[in-house]
Amino acid sequence: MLKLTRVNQLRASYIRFVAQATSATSNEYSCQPEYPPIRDLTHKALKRREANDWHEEIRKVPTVEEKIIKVNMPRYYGYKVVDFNDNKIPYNALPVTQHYTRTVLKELPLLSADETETSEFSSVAFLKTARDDIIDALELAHDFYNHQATLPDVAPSDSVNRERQLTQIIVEQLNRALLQILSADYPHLNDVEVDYNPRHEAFWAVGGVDPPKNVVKSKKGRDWQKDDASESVDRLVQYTGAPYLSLRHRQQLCPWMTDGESKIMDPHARHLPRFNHDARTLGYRTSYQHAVNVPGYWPSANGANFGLLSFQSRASLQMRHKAYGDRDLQEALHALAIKSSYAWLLAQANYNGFNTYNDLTYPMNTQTVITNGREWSFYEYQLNTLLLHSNQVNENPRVNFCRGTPPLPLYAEISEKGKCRPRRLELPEIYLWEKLWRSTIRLEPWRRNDDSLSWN
Amino acid sequence: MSSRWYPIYQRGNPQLRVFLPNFWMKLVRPEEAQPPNVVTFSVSTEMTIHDVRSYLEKIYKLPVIDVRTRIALGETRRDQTYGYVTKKDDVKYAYVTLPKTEEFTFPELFEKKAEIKEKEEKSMDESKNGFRKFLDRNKKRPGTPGWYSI
Repeated sequence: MLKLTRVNQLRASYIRFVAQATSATSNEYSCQPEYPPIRDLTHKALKRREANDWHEEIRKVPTVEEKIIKVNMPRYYGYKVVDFNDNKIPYNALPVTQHYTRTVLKELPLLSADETETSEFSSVAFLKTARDDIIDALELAHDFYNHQATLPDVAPSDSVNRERQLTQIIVEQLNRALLQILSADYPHLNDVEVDYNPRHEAFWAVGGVDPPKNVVKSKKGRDWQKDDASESVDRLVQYTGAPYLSLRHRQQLCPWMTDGESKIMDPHARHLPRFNHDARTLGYRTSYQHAVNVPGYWPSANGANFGLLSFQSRASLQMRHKAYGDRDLQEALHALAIKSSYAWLLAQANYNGFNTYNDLTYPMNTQTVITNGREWSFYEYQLNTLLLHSNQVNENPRVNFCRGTPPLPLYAEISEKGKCRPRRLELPEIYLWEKLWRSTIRLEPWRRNDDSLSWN
Repeated sequence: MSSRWYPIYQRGNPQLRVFLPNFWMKLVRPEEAQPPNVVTFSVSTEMTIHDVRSYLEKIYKLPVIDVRTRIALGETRRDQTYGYVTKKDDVKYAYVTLPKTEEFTFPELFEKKAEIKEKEEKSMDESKNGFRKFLDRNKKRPGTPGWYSI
């Protein structure tokens, strides 16, 4: 019996072989010669293909954790990164920030007092209620801060820390008051998650930076690399920041630029400011560390995974020298808004399986407020692309967008008795996201939707 | 201000009246490419950022925005014969940022150097060739003076 089956197996495999052989001979010839594609075998093309294969490998890896491990694999002791943090903004930092985040900036003009009153929301009744509550919250915050300062065992702190402490109280109080007032009319505010002093970190690669001297020298020493000696190189960037407060929601903010608008080469992508020199020539530092992407919360499936609003500190801007001037202060605020928004969105996108080598498949939006308690600047940011590395800096047609206002004073002054004289109250408007949307496209295309694997 | 060691005071005249500051700044060519509004100086190691700023602002009336300094380690070199190690002095570099509208390019101090060198080499070659010609001509009659034939 056993023998018979073995003979049958042999026969079957012989028949299979003969059939294959005959089919192979019949397909061996074709009328038109079919050549394999000719591959570019230059060193440069080889390297590019290797990089693409690596990016593709990262894309194929199923979980977020594995992706970030894969990105970190090539350097055991970490990458050499430009330290982009929210504490230090050197002189003339806007061009480098725009280059490193591929962002088009639009400054919104200041509305005059009359225009503010006739704006969309000014007549709404609850804003009048909100106005009183904002004033109450401001007075309470100042009272509390002054009370804290009088406590006997409080160590004296410098002006930066003082501003941080006061602003933290003001932002928390205003956020509490506004959520309370507005949530009756805007039910989405009930589902908002609030993070206090969250940790925001993001890692990305930027192309189009001039090579350092040692690289140029070593390439010039080799005949076959002589011509490419001054070819631009990639620079890795790590952002670290801690805003006062951030809000997030299950649903995303609605994009304010269409897909078509965000990928026009002219005038956006081609006219983006470029900063080809080393970032250290401006005063940035470099350090060695592993790539880290943290949006300030733990991921949860169908949880509040989309950032709506973050309140950034401008306390460290006090330390800038007076010689920098007012115009540069304004640019520094823009730069801070751009880099904090970009980094936060990148970290959020990372939870959905995107990273600096695998581009977004849908836009992501956030709002950023930079404040010292009295002055408030409002920004909106739309992230369209994450690809900035190597050639993408020249070839990628997509750009990111940022628009924002100059700083607006929320109140004129707080009198000695603790009474507040308000100035302009645009603040509530940024809480009125009427256009939250849940995208119909798949939000995590590069991540396997398997519960056992997904969020780890 | 100065930390130089001056000779101990001696009674009588003439007195030593030369007091040199030991704060000095030397404009140097940057090693790496940098934005046009950044100027590199090599300065005395004892100068701080504030010293550099006030030096340029007060003496040269420059609009200084920002100053950053670093101390570059001097080169060490091992002696070829005896193997002991010698070290050059450390240098402090100051990177001074001017307003972004300003531009500074390090001047080409020896622009004509190559040109002059070429000219000199040319005349040297000419005289060398002349002498070689003279030798060739007089190969068969050694010891003949230069004025002997045309």
